[in-house]
Amino acid sequence: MLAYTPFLEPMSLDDFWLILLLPLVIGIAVVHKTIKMDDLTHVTRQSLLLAMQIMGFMILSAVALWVVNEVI
Amino acid sequence: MLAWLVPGLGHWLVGEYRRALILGTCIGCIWLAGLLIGGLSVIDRQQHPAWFVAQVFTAPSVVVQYCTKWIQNREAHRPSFGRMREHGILYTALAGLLNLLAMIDLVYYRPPLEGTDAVEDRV
Repeated sequence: MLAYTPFLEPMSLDDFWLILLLPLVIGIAVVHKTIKMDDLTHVTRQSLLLAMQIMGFMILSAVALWVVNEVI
Repeated sequence: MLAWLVPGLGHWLVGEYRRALILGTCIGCIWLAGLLIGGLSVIDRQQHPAWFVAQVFTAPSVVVQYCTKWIQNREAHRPSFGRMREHGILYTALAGLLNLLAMIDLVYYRPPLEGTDAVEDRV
């Protein structure tokens, strides 16, 4: 990690690549809610709620695909 | 056009300051994260033209593309491959598509009616 040069070489996160999906989901949720909501007072709560919904659906889809893969 | 150059700038110019800050920060961070994860080589028109179409919706991606040759000649440059490259491409492409969403929002922007309290979105 100490030898890492930002932007010129990739990060060494191959073993933790799944965790990288989390900030992406949160970013998408925040941008979507920011654009959609007229009043931005509750944008944090709504964004987190949407991010959790997206993650939950992704986990469910992964489980369903795993079951299909094991059974069929 | 300005929203393409700097994410969130279009919203800032129409008076939606808080929205502009959130959009600019989020889209900028996603784009930067993509470059940090996969390196500057994730923006490459020759290798993956389809993803480049999405990446180009943030103007800095075009700058990175034109700097590709200079970047590849640097000794410290190590091209990415595998999952890190995929994630870098995904992050930068999604940043472009989210910026496109913000630009479309500006196209249909309607200023608040006079007499209504429109200060809640202003910094």
